[in-house]
Amino acid sequence: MTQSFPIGKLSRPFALTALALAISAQAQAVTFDDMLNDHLTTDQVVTNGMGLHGQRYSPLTTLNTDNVHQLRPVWAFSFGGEKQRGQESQPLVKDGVMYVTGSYSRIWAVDAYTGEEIWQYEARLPDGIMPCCDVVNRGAAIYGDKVYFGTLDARLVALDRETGRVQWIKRVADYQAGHAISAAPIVIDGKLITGVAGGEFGVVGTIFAFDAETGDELWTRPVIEGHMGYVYENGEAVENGITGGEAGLTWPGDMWQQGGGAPWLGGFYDADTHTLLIGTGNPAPWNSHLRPGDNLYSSSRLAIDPDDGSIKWHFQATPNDGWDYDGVNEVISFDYEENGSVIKAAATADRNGFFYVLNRENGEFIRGFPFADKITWAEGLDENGRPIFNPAGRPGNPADVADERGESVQAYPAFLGAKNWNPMAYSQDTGLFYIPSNEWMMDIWNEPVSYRKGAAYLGAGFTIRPANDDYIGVLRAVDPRTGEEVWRHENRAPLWGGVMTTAGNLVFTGTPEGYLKAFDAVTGEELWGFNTGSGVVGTPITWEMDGEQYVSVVSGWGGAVPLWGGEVAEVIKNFNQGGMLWTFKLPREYAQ
Amino acid sequence: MPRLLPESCRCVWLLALAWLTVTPVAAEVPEDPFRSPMWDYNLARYLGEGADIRHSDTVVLKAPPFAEDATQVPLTVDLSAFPHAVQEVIAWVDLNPVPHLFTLRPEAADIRTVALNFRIQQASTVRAAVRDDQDTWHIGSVHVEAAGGGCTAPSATASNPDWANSFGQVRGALFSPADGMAGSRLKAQVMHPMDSGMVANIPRFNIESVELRHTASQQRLASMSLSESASENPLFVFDLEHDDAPAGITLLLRDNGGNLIESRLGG
Repeated sequence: MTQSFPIGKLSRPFALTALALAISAQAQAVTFDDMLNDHLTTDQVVTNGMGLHGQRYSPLTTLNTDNVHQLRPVWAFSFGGEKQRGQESQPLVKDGVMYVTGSYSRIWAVDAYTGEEIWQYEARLPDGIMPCCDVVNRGAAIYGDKVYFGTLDARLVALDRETGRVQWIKRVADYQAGHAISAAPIVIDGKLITGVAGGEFGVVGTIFAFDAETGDELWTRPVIEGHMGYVYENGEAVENGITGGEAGLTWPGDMWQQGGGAPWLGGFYDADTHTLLIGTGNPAPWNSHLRPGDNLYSSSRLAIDPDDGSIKWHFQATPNDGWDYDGVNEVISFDYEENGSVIKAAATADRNGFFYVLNRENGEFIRGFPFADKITWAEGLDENGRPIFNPAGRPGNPADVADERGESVQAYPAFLGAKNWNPMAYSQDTGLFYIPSNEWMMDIWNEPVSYRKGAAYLGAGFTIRPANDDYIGVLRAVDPRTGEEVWRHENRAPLWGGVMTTAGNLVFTGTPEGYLKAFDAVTGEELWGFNTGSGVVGTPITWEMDGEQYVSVVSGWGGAVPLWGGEVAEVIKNFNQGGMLWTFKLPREYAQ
Repeated sequence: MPRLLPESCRCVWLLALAWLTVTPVAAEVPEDPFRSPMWDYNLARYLGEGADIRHSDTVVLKAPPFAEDATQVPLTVDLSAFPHAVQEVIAWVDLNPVPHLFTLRPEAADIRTVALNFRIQQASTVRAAVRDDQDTWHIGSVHVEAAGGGCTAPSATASNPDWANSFGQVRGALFSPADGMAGSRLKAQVMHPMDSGMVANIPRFNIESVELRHTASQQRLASMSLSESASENPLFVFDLEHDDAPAGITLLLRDNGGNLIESRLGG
């Protein structure tokens, strides 16, 4: 037990000190009810997404547009070491303790009052890990007396929340084939559910569920047509149906066997329909001429039964994807009224530049519209939400030319997407989605390729360029009922951090330039900013302790942009790396 | 709460009686012939204040006089001449940053010898304390000269990009004694970096617990906890006396990363 007494307790009220000590002695178990109510609860954050539906909306009004200029840092915590790479985590808070993950599969428990470390755990990673897009981790899950996170060698670790001791560790998939876990796992009623990354290496995207208490495997669901799903009964794998019914319906030959589709970003949960909503990655290889057909269920959104992993419905945003438009982006459940009736909807902003509103009860397409300024690969969406392809927008088939390399095309948006992994937020007050997006394009061409285990399986070359001279990032407020862009805030560097909104009429997000910023949710006016010292590509949270409202965010530039950003390097090359957890609060005297 | 009062009073009485009637063992700590500065401190830390302690020449520690390799120093604790039943063996290296090496508790087996290689940070006395069935600690000591640095040098594993391929491999065997005694000698080496956490940017990653189980009955023969002083790729030797030796022994190891390593030897 490495629990430490906070030294900085002189700075806090005596009653709080006593409370914190009492709590550190006996942390309360996190129940599924805690998670189901996380979006209503203000004194803790126990889910990735600040609510299982992932709206990232806090009902707190203590901090608001009138006083946000008084928001100030109260402590910062360094992740230490030489491992200062991209920090894409969202912290969790329970009983005065913050749980936060960092680059290279590390996790810390920190005193939320003082920033003092309680424990830390560093996964011992093999040298051969193959994360495509930096050594990031996007957050943990807490349930019962444990905290869970995934590692870059594709394992899940369960740690005791109080001591940080490993309770169990489970190999989810083979890292040597290209698997990795970077997303936060989700716990749905005692089941710990995760996807895996590795679509660039031709793995078959699969969703896995484990018993959160014991680590026993419960079910698996491959997301590519033709692969068998299993449920585990008394340790025995029992067949639970082939994904998509049978092989070869939407894939030519045996291409489905290395079909990609990695669900690398994890999912969110809709309690109304008891459904895991999760996205799937690009099909493999990138060269789409090798796999004519829709290539189900790559670049899709899936509604999964969390009890056995069966697929309830799917919506494919980019059939026969030839641009690396992974369909992994978060699907956020929300209700809205139309013609006097409540629509149970779910919304998602895709890498491919379109925003989709779906009926979350059956997956039916309600409407869709571009949120990116320019889209060249499709002319629009038909009445079912299927893209109307622009034939000239697809890179040429290398088989059509004598050269090894097919004809190159300019494609908008770039493969890093009009919006990437960084989650948007939905305000129940304004009815708007706040989308962290980017305006960039790519030159892309196709090449022949064949599969080899653990090797990149692309069959494409590419380079990214900014679409405009003066900005790449655009924070957008978008009305899901009309598609109208209500306001936008442009940023020189690409936006790579998540967004949070509050009932205080605020929208928060970070920038690679190092700022955590707050905006007026209605007007988009920039109200506050603080330079954290390195790029902010994590996702902020807010909560209250002892009547004061706090905001936390991790800082540390990295992620896919510096690795894959091509010509964007001109904008970002001087950004320094970091690894710091910042916590701010509105002092009591400024709260009205 | 009031209900507790009479009981706690009675306890105090009992304690007082015990103090009056039993001649108090004046836990006089014997002098250390090696005059180690850590003698009293480590005795109190690992055996507890007021423990009954004596030197014993039946706890025989075998180690080289000079540690050629400060990261791999062989240590054998030979208890074949120990006249009492062994309850517990605690070994430590006086001047290491984390002195504790191992704590061994025999259960369904008698331990006659235990050996394990250790790291040494500077020239130091090495101790093994053996608790008998009267809770008396018998201490054996040996001094090892060393150039030092064994605890803060990076493991060879840390510079090997393929370490994960051999990680957790166990090489070992079970031997029967030539004299026909009941029991067996277990000798096993485990591939594990055993990183102490004292090298910059290499977090602690070591085996914390070892169990020996009778393979057929799963009865626990002995359990052992390890600390940071244990060497990379540790080599264990146990001379055990127990029933039904031919059925074989299962070695179970667990590290602080939650990895479980299981190996069946003999049988």
